Amino acid sequence: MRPRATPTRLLLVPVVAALCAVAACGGAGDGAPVEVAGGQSAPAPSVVEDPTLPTLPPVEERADDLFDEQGCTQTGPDAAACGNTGAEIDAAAAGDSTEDWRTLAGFVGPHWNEQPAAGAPVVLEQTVAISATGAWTARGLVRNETSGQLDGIEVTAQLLAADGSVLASPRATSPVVAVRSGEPVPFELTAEVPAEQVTTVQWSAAVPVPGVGDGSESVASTAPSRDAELTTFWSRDHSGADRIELYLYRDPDDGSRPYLLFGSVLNRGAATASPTVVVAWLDGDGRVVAVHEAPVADPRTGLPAEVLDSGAGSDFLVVLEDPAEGFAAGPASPMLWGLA
Amino acid sequence: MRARVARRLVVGLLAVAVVVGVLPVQLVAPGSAPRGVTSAEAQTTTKTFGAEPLADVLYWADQKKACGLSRDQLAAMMMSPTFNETGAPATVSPSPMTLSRWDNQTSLYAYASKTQYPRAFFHPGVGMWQFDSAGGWPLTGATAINSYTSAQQAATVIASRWCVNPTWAYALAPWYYCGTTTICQDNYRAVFNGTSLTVRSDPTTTRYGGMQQRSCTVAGLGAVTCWFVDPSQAQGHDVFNLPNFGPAPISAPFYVVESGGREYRYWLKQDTGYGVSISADKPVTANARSALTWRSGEVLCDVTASKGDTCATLRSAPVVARNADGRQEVFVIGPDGRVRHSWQLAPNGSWSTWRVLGGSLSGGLSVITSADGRLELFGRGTDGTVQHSWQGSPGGLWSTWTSRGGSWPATSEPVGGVNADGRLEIFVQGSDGAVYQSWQLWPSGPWSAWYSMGGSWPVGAHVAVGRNGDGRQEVYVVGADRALYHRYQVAPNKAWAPWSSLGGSLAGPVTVGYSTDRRQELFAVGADGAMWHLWQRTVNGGWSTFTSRGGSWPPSAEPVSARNADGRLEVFATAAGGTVWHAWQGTVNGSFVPFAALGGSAVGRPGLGMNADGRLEVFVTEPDQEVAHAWQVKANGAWSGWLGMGFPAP
Repeated sequence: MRPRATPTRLLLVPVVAALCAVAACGGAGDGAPVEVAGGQSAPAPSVVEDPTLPTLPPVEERADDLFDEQGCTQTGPDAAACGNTGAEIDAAAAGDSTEDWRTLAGFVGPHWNEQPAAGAPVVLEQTVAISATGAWTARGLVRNETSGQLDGIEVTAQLLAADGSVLASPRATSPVVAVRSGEPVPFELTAEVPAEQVTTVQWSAAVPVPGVGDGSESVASTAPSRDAELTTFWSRDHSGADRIELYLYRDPDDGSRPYLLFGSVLNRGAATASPTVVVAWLDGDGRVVAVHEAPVADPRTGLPAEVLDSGAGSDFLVVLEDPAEGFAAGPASPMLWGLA
Repeated sequence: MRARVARRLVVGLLAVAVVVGVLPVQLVAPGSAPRGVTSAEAQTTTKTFGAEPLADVLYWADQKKACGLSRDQLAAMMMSPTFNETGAPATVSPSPMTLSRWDNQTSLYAYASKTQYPRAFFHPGVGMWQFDSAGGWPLTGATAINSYTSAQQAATVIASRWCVNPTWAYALAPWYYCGTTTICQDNYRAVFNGTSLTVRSDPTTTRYGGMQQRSCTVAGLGAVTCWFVDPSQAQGHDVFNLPNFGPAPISAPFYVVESGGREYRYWLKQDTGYGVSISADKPVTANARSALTWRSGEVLCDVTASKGDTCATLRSAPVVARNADGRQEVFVIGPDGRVRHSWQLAPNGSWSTWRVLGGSLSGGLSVITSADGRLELFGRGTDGTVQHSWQGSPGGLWSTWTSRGGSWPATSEPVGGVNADGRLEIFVQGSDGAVYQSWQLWPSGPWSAWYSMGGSWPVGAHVAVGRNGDGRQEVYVVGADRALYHRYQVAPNKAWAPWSSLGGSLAGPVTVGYSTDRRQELFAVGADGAMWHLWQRTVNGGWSTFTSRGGSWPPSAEPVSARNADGRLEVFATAAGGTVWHAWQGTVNGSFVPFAALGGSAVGRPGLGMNADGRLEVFVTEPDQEVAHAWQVKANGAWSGWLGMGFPAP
């Protein structure tokens, strides 16, 4: 039997989360995020402006022998059905509203905004799940609302107590780098603060400063290919009965059965070193209940691939060992990003 | 032991790269088994596979064979997951119609409720390979069942992965037990002896696996090819049909329609037994768990089987008028929105067959006679406008349908009236609840813009139009307080008095009849279910109080009335059981006799006409959507039985 999901520790509680504008909340202090637009000290966003939707190549190219010359589906040796043409399938996959689940190059999920207007990254408050007990934890999506691609987005949450005092200001960068205009990406924040003490959260999002703070280099020159075709093959719920032993994974001998999500990626862009895929799971309310980054495997060894060449495809396997995350992910819908 | 259909499986679009030669893979020589499977290990146990599906597997295996795989090797690899995906034993072929039973997310149930309509369930994994919508495959429920299209996908995936890494563990990893266990290798050995395929061919399992191709009409999509999936008709091993086979329910029969890049599934109430029909749709490549939109499904007609909510359902009750030469003519809106009509071939005579008069109407058909005796039709167009067609001369040919504009809600039913000077006028309820009017600037001339007559009437309030003895028009609407309201022209062809109440407690719309001296006589079903009557006490004058004419009527009963040749009023209505009843005045302007059954089996409001010789005639739509009629055998006299007039639409 497929196990039933149990309540996650990420209980969704209403928090007075004030989403402040970047200009008001960001850009203060050494090593702090800088404003994307406006402030004099802000570096210009990297990469060219490209607000077009990154659609996949036409399905008639990807599955050419499934369609005839008119774009109709070949349903038999001498039969075709024209209810859906390849072009219509492509258009429907790309979606036409922010709420639609879109299948795009390097992205599968909702909340892509084709007409970003804020001019700065914006935390999508309605997607944020915050822990009710234990250490304060939040997971959610932040969207690039600028007209250009960003080299990652840093999210900061200012946690306030009932008396207005600042308890902590956890900060984290999305695991997805090379964030395209209009694209939502996940984030995960934790703070050593009891969740019960937090009464107000003030969110801010900005572009991390290349080379500031941690001494890292700009990622622009090594940005991974986002021109990837993502798919999932199967998943196994946490505590699933079947023992899995794949070429790239085997279940622990202790009998534990973590949640698994197995899929594949085809790199239609430039060769990418240390390729990974990022997955975020949305629950029925549209909130992010888990975020995980998994390496793309070398198809021969099953080990993390050193590079995924242009035109090459390979598998990925997401393993959620945390039972709470695994149980939460089971009934949830996975969003996918690649390559990260 | 019952085999278990695999779980959430094989998802994924063509994300598996066809990268022959990109990686330095060690290829296996043609004719040998894949790595890990040797000819010597091939077992004598064989398997059964549908004849057409086998042909499709072989065709695509031949098309996609690569990297050392022969056609039969690839075919055997393609077949190897299907036995476990479908649970098929050796003696029965895998069912192409196999529907997943292990995915039980709430979003796959109608309206995301596991209890409301559990058999309107969207199985995300479909077919022998259980291609799951989560993978972004360009397959619908229909093409995942169809072994021609699904085998193409299976061949592409397996062959391309084999070229990257020619091992079972890699090539068949999308079917997780294939990559984890030796099940698929065992199946491979069972259908391939190292030289040729040994699978048994089952001619009773076809490409569609019991799915039927049909023709459907769907509101908003038009005429489409549809695929009827009835799990009870599955060919091959149909263990997935067992009630408790998996945690997910087995769907009631459903239809798959492909249109505009989306997959639609429809569950008709005729198939589910539920009180409503249901549909769900999503982009073809989207995950059903996150992308389904659930809607009312009362939009599909299976034309092939004449089944569905909109199938043969006429969109209007019959409306009747008499041509200038005395021949009656009856009109209905067909299920496709086109008006049909039938007419007497001679005054008082027999009737023509039904002919198409065109148009694209959603309802609200009405007919009036212009001052020069031409018939004029009005209705609500499927585009929301008022549509108009008219005879070019009395009894002559009909015009094409012409829009009179506006954007009226689906519940609006335009009705026509005639001014004293012969100018026609249309009245219709707007989306703001007000009544709107538009009129001809001169008889047979152009039309004015639409103007609000005010009021805020309940949604779907019917507007009735009457005419006073002096030619002043008068309109009636039942308000939210159930009282009857009216406005009237203060002088013929002139302005209108404000809305005012005539009282009453009504449940349905009024119908307007006339006494011999041109006094208006109104009938409507009251809140108490009785038929109520209101009349002008004098020509152009004030009104009586409401008087009950008895009976027990549903609120939807819309009475119609007419005057007998001798001047006695007669009123007709359809009771809850479909019987038509009538009541009439014993003498001109006298009291009414109690309602008496006229028989018949009617759906909705009757239509009422009069022959040239003064005989009344009633027309109804029967439950099978045939129009039937009954008539007075002589003026003012007894009635005939009911006789069918044929089906206005097939």
